[in-house]
Parts: sequence; C-alpha cells; structure tokens
Amino acid sequence: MAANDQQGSDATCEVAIIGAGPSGLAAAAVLREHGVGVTVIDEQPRAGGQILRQPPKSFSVAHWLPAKLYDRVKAALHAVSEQPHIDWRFQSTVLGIMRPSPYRRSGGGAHELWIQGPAGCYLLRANAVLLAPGCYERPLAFPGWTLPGVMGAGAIQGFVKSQQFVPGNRFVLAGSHPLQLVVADQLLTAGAHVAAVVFTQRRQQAWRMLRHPFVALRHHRQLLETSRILRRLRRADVPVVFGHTIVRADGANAVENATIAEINPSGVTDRHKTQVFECDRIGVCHGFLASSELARQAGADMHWKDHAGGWVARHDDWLESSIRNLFVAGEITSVDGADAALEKGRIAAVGILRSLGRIDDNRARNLAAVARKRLSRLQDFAAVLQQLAQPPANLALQAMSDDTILCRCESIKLGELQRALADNEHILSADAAKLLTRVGMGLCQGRLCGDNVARVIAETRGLQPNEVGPFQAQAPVKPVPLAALVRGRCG
Amino acid sequence: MKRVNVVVLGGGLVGCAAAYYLARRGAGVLLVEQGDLNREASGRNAGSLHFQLEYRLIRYGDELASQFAQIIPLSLVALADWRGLEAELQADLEVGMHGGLIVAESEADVALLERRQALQEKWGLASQLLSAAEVRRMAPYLAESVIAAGYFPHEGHANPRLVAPAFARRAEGLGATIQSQTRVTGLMRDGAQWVVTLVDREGLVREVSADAVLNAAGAWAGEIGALAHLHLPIFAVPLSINVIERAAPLIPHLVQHASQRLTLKQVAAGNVLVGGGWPSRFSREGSTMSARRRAEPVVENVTANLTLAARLVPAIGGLHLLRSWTGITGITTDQMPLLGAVPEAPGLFVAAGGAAFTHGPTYARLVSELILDGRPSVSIDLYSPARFSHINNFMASV
Repeated sequence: MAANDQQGSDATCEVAIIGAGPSGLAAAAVLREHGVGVTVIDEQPRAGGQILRQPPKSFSVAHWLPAKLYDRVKAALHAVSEQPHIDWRFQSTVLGIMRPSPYRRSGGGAHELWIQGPAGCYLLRANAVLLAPGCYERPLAFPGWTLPGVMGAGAIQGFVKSQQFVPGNRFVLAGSHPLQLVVADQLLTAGAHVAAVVFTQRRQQAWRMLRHPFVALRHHRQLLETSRILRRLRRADVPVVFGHTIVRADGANAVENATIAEINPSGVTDRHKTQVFECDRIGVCHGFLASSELARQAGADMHWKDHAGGWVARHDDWLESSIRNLFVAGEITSVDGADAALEKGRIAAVGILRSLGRIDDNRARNLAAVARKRLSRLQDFAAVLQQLAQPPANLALQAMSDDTILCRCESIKLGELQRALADNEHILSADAAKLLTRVGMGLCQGRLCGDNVARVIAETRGLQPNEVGPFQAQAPVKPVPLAALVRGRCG
Repeated sequence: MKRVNVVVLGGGLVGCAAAYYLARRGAGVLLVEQGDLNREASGRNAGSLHFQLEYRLIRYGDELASQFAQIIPLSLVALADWRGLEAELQADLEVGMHGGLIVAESEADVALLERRQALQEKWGLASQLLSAAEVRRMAPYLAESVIAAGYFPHEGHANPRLVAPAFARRAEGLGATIQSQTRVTGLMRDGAQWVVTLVDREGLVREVSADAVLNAAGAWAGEIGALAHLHLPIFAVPLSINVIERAAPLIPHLVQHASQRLTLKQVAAGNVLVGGGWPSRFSREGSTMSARRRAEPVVENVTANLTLAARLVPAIGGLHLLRSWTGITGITTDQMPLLGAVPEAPGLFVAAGGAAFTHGPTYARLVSELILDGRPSVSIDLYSPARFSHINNFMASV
C-alpha cells in the first residue's frame, strides 16, 4: 500500500477526498476509473464511514448482526475500500482547508490541507478537494443529559456495530428520528433489554406520512423493514410510546431512570403527564447535524436547513461549493442518508473531472445522468423522512431548565447565557455570546452546544437561528496535540 | 437631527471606555460600532498587560528603541489605571498582575535585556535582571535553556472578553447610547458642529450632530479619518493567537522572550494563551489586501509560535492546541499611539494604535479629559496626531 509511508511529508496531490464514507468512496471509485490520482483522508482506521462501521480486521464476532439496510451501498463500496491505487491516509484529521498564499509563488494546487496524521502535522496541496465529512447526532440538552449513560442513539449503534459490544443493559431510546427503531432492533438482536422507544410524533401523524401513496409505492422496502421492526419490538414486549419526549434523566452517579412527558397537540410539553422508565442507558435520537466546521472554516457559503442538517454548504449542479475546486458531497449538502450520499459522491467526482478538464460538458452530463436520476428519487424520500423526523418546534428550548448545562465542555448553564443576554442587549450572534460567556469555547469547539445556543439566542431576540449564525469556525477545527505540531513539518 | 456632545466611533475597548469616562462626567454620548461590540482586536487579543518594552519596540536597533521608549510614561499611568479598574467598574475582569518575565536563552539575549532595562530605567520603569538560579526559583516551569530574565513585578494579564463589555454596561448605565451594527458613512463640519451620517443594519440612514467626534476605530481609524479628508497613518496588521486546553495552575507570570516573538500566560480558566505578534495573512480582493475580511492563519507561523512556547514551558508540550484565531490591529508608522486632537479638524479626536489593550483604558480616560476639559491630567503631547501635520498640510481645509 502506498498509504501511510507518505505521511509527514509535504506534497501535492490531484484530488484530496476528506471522509471515507459513502460519498468519499463513491467519488474515489469514479475518479480512479478515469485515472485521476486520489488521496483519501479519514479519522478512522478503516474506510466506510459511520454507515459501514466495521470492527478492526483482527477482531470480529462471527454472525454478530445480520446486514439488512444499506446492502446496496455496502456492495458498491466494498470494492473501492481495499483499492491499492488510492493513497489512503487513515487516523488522520484535516485541521483546516487553507488557501495557498496569494503573495508567494509556489507548488500549485488550489487548496492546502492542514493535516494531523499519525506521524505529526503536515500540509498537503490538492488541485481539487472533495469535502464529505458526514454528520453527527443533534444533541438535546435536558436536565440530567450530562449524566454518564446518556448517549446518542447512533453512538449506541456505533458500539454495537463496530465494537460488537452492547454498551449497557437496559435502554430507553427517545427522540423523533426513525433511526431509533433500527437501534432498538439491533439492541434486541444483540441481547440487550429495551425498556422503551419514545417518539415525539403522535402515532397518527407518523402513519399518515408513511402511508403517503408516493412513499408507499417507491419505498416499500424501507416501509416493510419498519413494520417488521415494529412487529419484533411488540413481540419482545418493548413499549413504543408516541407523542412523548424525554424531560429528564436521574441517577446518583449515572443514569438510573428516564422521565418522559406528554406533548400536547399544540406542541407544548406537559410536565404533569409523565412516565418513568428504569434504565441504565438513554439513547437520544433527534436527527443529525452536518459536520460543517471545515466548510465554514474554508469560507464556503452556507445556508440553514433546519431539520436537514442545520448549516449545510451551498453548491452548484456539480456540487462545487462557492469556493472554486472545493466540492461537497454527502450530508454536508443536506442530511439525505447513505444511499443519496453515494450518488452525490459520484456526481461530485464527475464535476471534479469536468473542472480539472479531464472530460467535456457533454461527457460529464452523460456520466452523471444515472446518478442524478437516482439522487432525485432518494432526495424525495429524504425530504419526507426529514419532515417525519422533525421534532416539534421549540422542543430544544422546552427541554432545558435554568440550570441545565448547555455547554458541557465549559459547564455553562442555560441561565448563565440568558442572564448574559439580558445584561448585554447588543449580543445578537452566537459568536458574540461565545466571547462573553465562554459558551462553545471548549474541546468540542461548539459542535455539541452550537445548535442549542443559536436557538436560545434566536428565541430571546426574536430572530431565526440562521440570523444568529453558527460559531465562527477556525483552523484547527479540532484540538491538536502540541506534540503533533512540534513533531510535524509545518514549521 | 439628534444632538449629542460626543459621538464615539468604534465599539472596542477604547471606544467603550471613552463612552464610560465621558458619560461619567455627564456628557451626552453616542457610541457607534459597525459590527458588534468588542469583536475585533479588543476582544481578540491575548490580554497581556505589559509595561516593559515589547520585543517589537527593541528589535530595530538602539536608536529606534530609545525613540519607542517614550511609551513608558504612558505605560506607568496604565499600570496604575489597571490596578483600580475592577473596583472602578465593579466587575471581575480577571485582572492578574503577578509579574512578567522576559526570558533570555543566549548571551546575546542577555545583552539585549540589559540594554532594554537601561532604557526602561531612563524613563522611570525599574525592573530586575534575574540570574538562572533566580529564574528557576521564581518560575520552575521554565526550561533549562533559560539563563536569565528581566522581571517586572506588576505585569500580568486581564480577560479581553470582559473588559470592553464591562465599560459598555457601565456607560449605558450612565446614560450613554450604544448603537452596534451601524456604519458611519459621512463626517462633515457644520460650523462648530460635526454632522455624522449613520446607516443601521436595516439600511436606515440618519444624521447626528455632535460637539466632538472621537475616532476610536483601531485598525480602521484611517478610514474614519478619510471621511474627514485626512490621513491618519495607521496600518492594519493581521496577527494570530493560540489557546491551549485547560490545565492545573502552573504559570502565574506573563512570559515573553528577549529576542523572539512570544507572549505566554495562563488565564483564570486554566487555558494557556500563546501569542506574541506572529502574523496571519490578509486575503486579497482584486488587487488589494483586504482588512475587511477575517485574516487567514498561516500554519507555519502558528506552528513556530507553539514550538517556541513548548520549548520554553515543556509542561505544555503534552497538551492540546484548542483553537487559533486571527485578529486585526492597528499600528502607526512610528509605533507610538495616535492620541489627542487632530489639529487640522477642530473637534475631531483620535485614540488608536499601539498596545491598545494594555493602554486602552488610559487612552480613553486621558482623551476624554482632553475633550471635556481642554487638557488631560497627564500630558499626552508625545502621542499627538500633530506629529503627522506635515502630511495633513496637504489634506486640510476642504
């Protein structure tokens, strides 16, 4: 493998792909077919992204979970993930997408990636960059959410899939996203006890949407799988509660129980109508936020798509962002799921071939035609799913009380932010609030609190979250050990 | 047309502090900020309170250094101002003045320190030269490579996030009006008055009449000057600062280096801030550098700055760099502040340039006294814009 031995040296590559998930791998396959040099950078030790999360090669339990969903994606990606002609750079974090200096003639390359690899930090120039960083779970802050045992439902799934390990005994899953059904099913299969699955949606609302003739016709596979899961949960006596939301987690040193409350028809949480479930793990599941920090740091134009990923990147028909030769694919353009991400990766790769002058417009149009057609169908379904999975407006704000920790890195409570807003009427942006209160200044760089902070400021000032803005993203977008800087080759 | 006594342009530390000092004396004040308060250099600097001569002032040879040393009298006033600031504003500003060390790693460094100390002494700032053993005793966290240090017991740091907002809150409490997200598009003389044209975030245009205008726009003070057809020779420069994750208390001092760009300190929250004047880079719009967009970090400079920091304080080598950021500050052609009345434009005052965090509250207090009383309690003649009259000789009386 031409992989890791190049790490630590400055160089130029043709196309750098950030993220080895469905988008990145699909793009890599198309680019390799056309003889373009590809470098793939990913934080994980193996390719596949979150959706293909796999255990280390040396460790695997036979017949752990039967693969059901995404088998098409998996098949399509398996081939490329072992390709020797790709320059793989695993366990590597892109700290920033830097613009080469316009004041110094050197090297070429449209972008310069600041990378932390196993051997230290280095710079890598690329003629084109495909940014496909995926998404992460939208956190809900509620009393007790920082207790050990409160997790994202996807994180629980990550343990089950990639570690082949059930991280707890008795689970409550609560949220608005259907993913929690899949996770509940996987937990049951793996032998865990599921105490409840709680949906914010009312039952009728969910079924009305799913029975939409358009969805029923075109996506019968997903529908079928959903009803199978519901049947299995029923057989296992797992209560599936609709029209409720998690309002608190309690326990001495870790989660011991979860309290849920009814949401009345006007979307207001009724704290007098509660149920308590004993559990040692709570999986929260309110959909996803695009990992937008690199796009924002690079200065790409972003726009706000509330329940399709929060801040997502603007792009043209070829998935080129507002920055020339910085392409975007996958959830960073809108959280549409793995199947759609695959097609976006293919289209972006054709866009890159076209932009680098490898193919002309006609050929590009032909090459992308099939992927475009599939994508359009998948995005129609994604739009229905996004609408279905959307939690009630203001759920995030209703969930918090005055002393709920909003920013867990810096231990800033909701009340502290609200008092700062009351005392400083000029604060209109998330960045201004950060500067005054330290909210978002910690190790996670605001990934966990940013969405909730923006909602609080927007609500207080009578603005929309998009007017409040995300925190400004700066390189390095993730914390980097000083030792990796000192040892690296950027000095 | 609304009338006020003073329009203050710029919602950074100097502008917010001036609004406070003016309002405290009963003046009607309107503070105008184009973005949000404290969002540029005032809130983005590393919070050093340095009273010894900074490296940027001594690195260009003895002759220039002795000229730059004229800043020291102002530094000594600032020192006293900072001692009383938290009481004055009734706010916790995280002021810690536990001493500053300028470290030397070579004989050449030591020689430079000695020359620096002689200059400082001449202007009334007495510092000590510590031996290697004394340094070790006082600052055991420093590396073995440190063989001497210049020590001044009053240096330290404050939290830039808190200072300007505290001034702004107090100014508002005293009746000052603060208008953020508002641009200034006109600055016209009308008899003895100034008429300031403002455009707010909704695009609404209005005019305000004032007896005096204070230009506290920092790196952008030159643009404000241009509205009055004057040159104020202040240049925007892009710097970068780095913050390291929280650690147990280790470094009580402000640490600088005798012959390299470095400031290093541990703040109240436990984070270690590393800076010292390493450049970031302006982006280019068309054929010009743009000070309107965020400056871009230069990876090589961030790396070099942190490599130096980790060499001097080995214990931080095991920590994470949490974040780097860039900021734009203003520097004059002679590195001295622009502080006082603009002779070519009666009623127009400026307070900008230089080490405007350490000196900011003092600039604001003294220029406010100048505006209201005609003379400040401490002379600021050395820093007067009059020293650039040879330029504005060709600009004035339009």
